[in-house]
Amino acid sequence: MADKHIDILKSLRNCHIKPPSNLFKKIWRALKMTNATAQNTSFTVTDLSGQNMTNSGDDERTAGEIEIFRSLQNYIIAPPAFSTLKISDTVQNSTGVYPVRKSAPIIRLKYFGRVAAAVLIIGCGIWIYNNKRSLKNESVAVNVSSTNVLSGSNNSASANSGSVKSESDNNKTSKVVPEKSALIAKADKHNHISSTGSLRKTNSNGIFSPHEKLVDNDILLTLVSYNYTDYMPLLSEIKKNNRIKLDQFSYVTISDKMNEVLKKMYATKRNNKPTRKAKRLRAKIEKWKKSDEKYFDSNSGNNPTDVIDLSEFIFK
Amino acid sequence: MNIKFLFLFSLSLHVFFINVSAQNAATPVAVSTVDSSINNDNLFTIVYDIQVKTDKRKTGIEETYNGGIQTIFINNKQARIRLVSLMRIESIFFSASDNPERQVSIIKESGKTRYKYYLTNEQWTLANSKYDNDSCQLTNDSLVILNYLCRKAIITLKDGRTLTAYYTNQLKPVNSKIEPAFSCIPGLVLQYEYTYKKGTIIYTANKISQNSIDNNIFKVPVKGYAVKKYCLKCTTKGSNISSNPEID
Repeated sequence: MADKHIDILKSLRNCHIKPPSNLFKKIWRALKMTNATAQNTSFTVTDLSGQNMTNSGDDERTAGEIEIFRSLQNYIIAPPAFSTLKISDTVQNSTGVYPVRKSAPIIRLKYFGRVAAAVLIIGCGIWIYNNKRSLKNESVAVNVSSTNVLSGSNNSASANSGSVKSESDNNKTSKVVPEKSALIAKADKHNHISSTGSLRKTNSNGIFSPHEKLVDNDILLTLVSYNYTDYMPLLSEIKKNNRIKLDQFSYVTISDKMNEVLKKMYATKRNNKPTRKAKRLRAKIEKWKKSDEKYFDSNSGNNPTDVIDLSEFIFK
Repeated sequence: MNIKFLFLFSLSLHVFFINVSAQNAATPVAVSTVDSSINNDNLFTIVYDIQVKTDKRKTGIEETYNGGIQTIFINNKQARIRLVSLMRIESIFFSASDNPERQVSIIKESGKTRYKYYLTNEQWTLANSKYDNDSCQLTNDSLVILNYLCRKAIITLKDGRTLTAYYTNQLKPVNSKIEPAFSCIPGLVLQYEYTYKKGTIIYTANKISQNSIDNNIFKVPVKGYAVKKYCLKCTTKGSNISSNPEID
């Protein structure tokens, strides 16, 4: 837009329009009529093209007048300095049209600068996420109720620097005050697995810390007893370490399939309630538990430590 | 003449290199020599990892045992087998108790209803009667487990079921009372597997230790367990579980 204005002005500056042929004559006559009626003077007018215009009668001109006209003819007025800004302001004031100004120059980041900026942003995001997550983990409380600590009881196996040694502090049942009572699983009515018992969580190494306890000394019960929202950190820990370590001599590796089942079992809807599939899986695990108890606990002589008895139960 | 000589020379070179490469391929993995220091009659711990393989698409109850461990602790005349899995934790104690009624104790350590029951030696033998008169077919197939060269053995039970085991002669076998399935194997079993229907369960030794074992490991827990009367193939439910936990 501004460029267009400038073009017009430039073309205007160079514009020459030749006046009509008798214009000067008419103007002169009019002047003469008004100002010099009293004076009976006659002079010769030279038009701009240099041709002598002789008027008979009243066309007698004095030498002074001719001189004046010549000087006028040669008079050149230097135009003022060409200022685009002034012109555009004038145009703007008169027309109300605002010319588009050029945008400020953009300092372009180089490639590495861009990468560094992206890394910084991602890093900040991860830090914020982790920070939030750790805050969430800290809020997870542990409700201790049972007196049977797997890693601390007489019937447990633990080893210290290569020696198998049981811990004698099984009576040290420090009761951790729960900060968040919501840890008790919000299981459905039909699910007795998580309706009772306390909860625990693993530390960063996937080891159940010795001060905490398993729900009924049962790993599966413990895993299914977590709150829906609190399970995710545990799940990620399990995935990272691939095993739950109870003490230095006892651990359980959670298979990918089982991990997937547990993950699905903790799936929630938008309102944080378990999905139908999650409920079904919970019920399924309960069913497994019951069938296991029925097979091995009902005095049928089946021994879970025996390879044949165990295989014929799990693959039946 | 020259061509024949060159041909024969190249052929002999070729054969030589083939032999060398075959010898390299057949070179056995460096295995430990007979470890006489480990006398598993006195002090011994072995940890088996349990691995379950199945063709089933859906996740089943087998996954609750997959990834578990089974540990055998032996200390002089005491022993303990301990199964730790997602589904259950269970131990069998073999003690040298004077009480003949309590030679073997089976303890279910996990779950809401934790219990224990005692067995005499006869009852234990009867419970494992399926392994009586089993036969072992020792083969030359080998496998290296924990740096021990193991040989394959196929154990056939009298009813036709078969177990596959890999044992090492470099370590003494576990007492047949503790591992009745391997009574016919002349060494310590480091891996064994059983296939049933669509699945296979594999026990592989992950750790062998001769370190000292705390005596508490071999103590049968006293409190917090209901005492059941052992009754092989009993069908009555709950009638033999005492309502009150035993207090010794």
